[in-house]
Amino acid sequence: MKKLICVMLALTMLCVAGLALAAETTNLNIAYMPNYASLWSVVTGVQMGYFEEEGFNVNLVEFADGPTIIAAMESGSIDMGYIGPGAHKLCINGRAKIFMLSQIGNADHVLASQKAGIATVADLKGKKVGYSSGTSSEMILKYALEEANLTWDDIEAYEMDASALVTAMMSGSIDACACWSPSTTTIMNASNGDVISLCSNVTFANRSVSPASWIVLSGYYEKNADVVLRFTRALYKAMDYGSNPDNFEQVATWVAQQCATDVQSALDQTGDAAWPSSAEIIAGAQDGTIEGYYKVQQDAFIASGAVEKEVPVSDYVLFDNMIEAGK
Amino acid sequence: MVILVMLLLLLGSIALFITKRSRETGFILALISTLALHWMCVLTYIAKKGGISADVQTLLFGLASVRRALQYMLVTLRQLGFAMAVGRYLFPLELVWLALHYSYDPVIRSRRWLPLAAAVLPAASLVLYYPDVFEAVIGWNRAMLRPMITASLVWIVAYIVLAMLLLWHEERGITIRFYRRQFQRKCGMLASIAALYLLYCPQDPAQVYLFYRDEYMGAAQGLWYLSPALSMVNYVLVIVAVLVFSAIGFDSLMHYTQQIIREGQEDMAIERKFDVASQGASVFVHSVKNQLLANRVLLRRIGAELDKPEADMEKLREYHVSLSASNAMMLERMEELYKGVKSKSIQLVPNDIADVCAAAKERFLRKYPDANLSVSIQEDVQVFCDRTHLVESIYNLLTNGWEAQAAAGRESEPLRLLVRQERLWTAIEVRDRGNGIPVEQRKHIFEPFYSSKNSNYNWGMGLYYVRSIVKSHFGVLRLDTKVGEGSSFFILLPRYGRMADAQACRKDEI
Repeated sequence: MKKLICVMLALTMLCVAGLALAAETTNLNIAYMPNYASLWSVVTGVQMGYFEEEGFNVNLVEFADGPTIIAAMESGSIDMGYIGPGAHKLCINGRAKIFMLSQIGNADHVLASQKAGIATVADLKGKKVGYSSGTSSEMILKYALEEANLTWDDIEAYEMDASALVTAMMSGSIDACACWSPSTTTIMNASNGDVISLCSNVTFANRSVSPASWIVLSGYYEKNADVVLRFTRALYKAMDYGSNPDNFEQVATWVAQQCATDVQSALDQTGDAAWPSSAEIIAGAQDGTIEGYYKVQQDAFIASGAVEKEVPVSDYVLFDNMIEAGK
Repeated sequence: MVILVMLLLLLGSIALFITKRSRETGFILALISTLALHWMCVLTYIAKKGGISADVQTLLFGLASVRRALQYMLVTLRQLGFAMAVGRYLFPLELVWLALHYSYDPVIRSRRWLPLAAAVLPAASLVLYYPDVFEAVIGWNRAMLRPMITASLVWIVAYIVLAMLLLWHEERGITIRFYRRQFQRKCGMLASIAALYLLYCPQDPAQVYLFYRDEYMGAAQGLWYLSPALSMVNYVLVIVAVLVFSAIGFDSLMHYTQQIIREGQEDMAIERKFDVASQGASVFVHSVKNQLLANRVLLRRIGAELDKPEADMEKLREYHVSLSASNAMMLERMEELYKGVKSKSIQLVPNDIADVCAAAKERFLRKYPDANLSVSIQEDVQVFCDRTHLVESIYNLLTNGWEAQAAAGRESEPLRLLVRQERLWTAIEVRDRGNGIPVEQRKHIFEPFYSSKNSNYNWGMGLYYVRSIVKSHFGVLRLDTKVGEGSSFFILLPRYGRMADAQACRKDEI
């Protein structure tokens, strides 16, 4: 009888322990875009179990672009997400808060077909140019046109989604486009040398930077600051792994799996940015370097008319979270 | 999977239209085409924007390759958004047009400007939602954005409700059972199609080309096309709803198509049978020959009797009576056949239906003086008809009905003749309490030379004759029967004064 009671007690305790463990796990819907820059840290965190260590069950959901991710967050379907440079104007306008810098990218390009008689940005005049509104595609095209003293009225602009830009360029329906990696690589590889890059983020380094960030809605952050902090901590661990060049191939393999593409395509994207470690982020948050990046970016948005008025960077970037997560 | 459902619906409506080209099938094809357009645009947008899990991708697109094809489809966001607007704004209009087309309410029917008036709001919305116009309007006054989005949604919902009310009103007004059943199936199909549409119609299509505009994202209300994509439960609910509604709609379409095909085939079969004159003639000749052979026997007996020294006058009288009866029967059959085959000259003039029915009753009671006939006629009903032929047709139906009751041993119950106004028709119903008509006989009863009764007394030309007469009156002969309980034959004639309407609608409604 005593044995039976002991067994029952042991089973009960196991059940209670199991339930407690299950209760501690938080499900998170995390939005990403199908490219290396978006996935390099988060997919590493999933694969290496860093999120699990923090008590998260992460469900990755793919989106085409940053503004869509913000809309999905507003609808309540997504908890946190990754955005590219172009969608940052929505954060400046108060739609979301940045809780983590992902990397400074150089993945955006303006591509053009030589057969269409385009060799420089100035040649875009009168040409059919595709772009994705609200994203870094629109930003880099805007910068490019300004550099060449052109306006939107000087080109025949076609607003498309990121996928359609690839199809349009490959089919010759448009003469040029502004897009980001890996679409840039896909288009250039398929053109047999016809498509060239007219400019990239590096071209405009003197007037803007292209930070990509992890974001959260204000309402969500107010209620779940601890969740965001623990998520950031897991991302730091992942960044430390992913920023090591020795691990690029492994991370590229995971990214390729997630995006259902080949590993080489993912590996080709490892040059799209300088991948920071947690120490660099924390130091940058403490000494104001990261604030400087966002300030330059905001100034560029204001100069281009995408943002109407200046706001303090600390209003939409959670530096405290970045610093606190490093402790 | 959803794409497959859309494809099936579209193919079904195309098949329906090819089978029976009419305004009604044209409306149904247009309705489903706009629904398919709307859904395809939504699916394309979801494919392009993402935000769906692998499971949901399977539910929506079936194969990943289908989603990829839509994702990389070369279309600008303006084109996609406007195509979505076309589907969104034309569907409610087409639904209302179809509901108006179905409506036989004299008040609605007489207002021929209603379809045109219904097109005003959709047309205005389409102009407004043309991307350049939409941007110009909100550029001019940003405060217009929210009222525009709300107003377009309000009229869409109002149109759907209006169409459903019209259909409900029409269904309530139908008293003939088979008509009502047929109309209910149509209503079921339309309600299911409308339910499919309602799943995504609250979404504003301008979000496709204005999605990145901060002012639009702030002002627009609704679920967003992508929002439910992330909740598996929501998606499963949506997909299940789509499948259930599609199944109902498709089943209705198929049933309706089959009915149309069957009716068409029956018409053709009857025409064909009668066109083969030799077949009818051989039946006729065979039967007359039998009669003549029987008469020859009688004549031989008369001859034999007359050869006797003293003829038996009693027997001779008996043979005479038999010969006279046989002769009268042959004449009657000749007349019956003649009526069926002769080129009928129909003179349509206004007649009081009560007079027509009284004449038919009188003729019927001459044949069956003891018959129990109950007549109920709506007052002051006029029909445009050839009095002689219509009297003969009603008489035929009364005779058939009473003989059916007699065969069932229900002579004590009344045979009923009812006349009432039904939608655009004047319905003359002969309702008997016979044994009903078995399914296998229903196909044949309108064929010439077909009779389920003793062929010595019935030539099977009665219902064929009635059907021909009714058709020449631009009317329809309908049967509603239950085995063991009885049958109702309906002569549906265009209501006097509404002949043109009825002619136009006959093709669709019957």
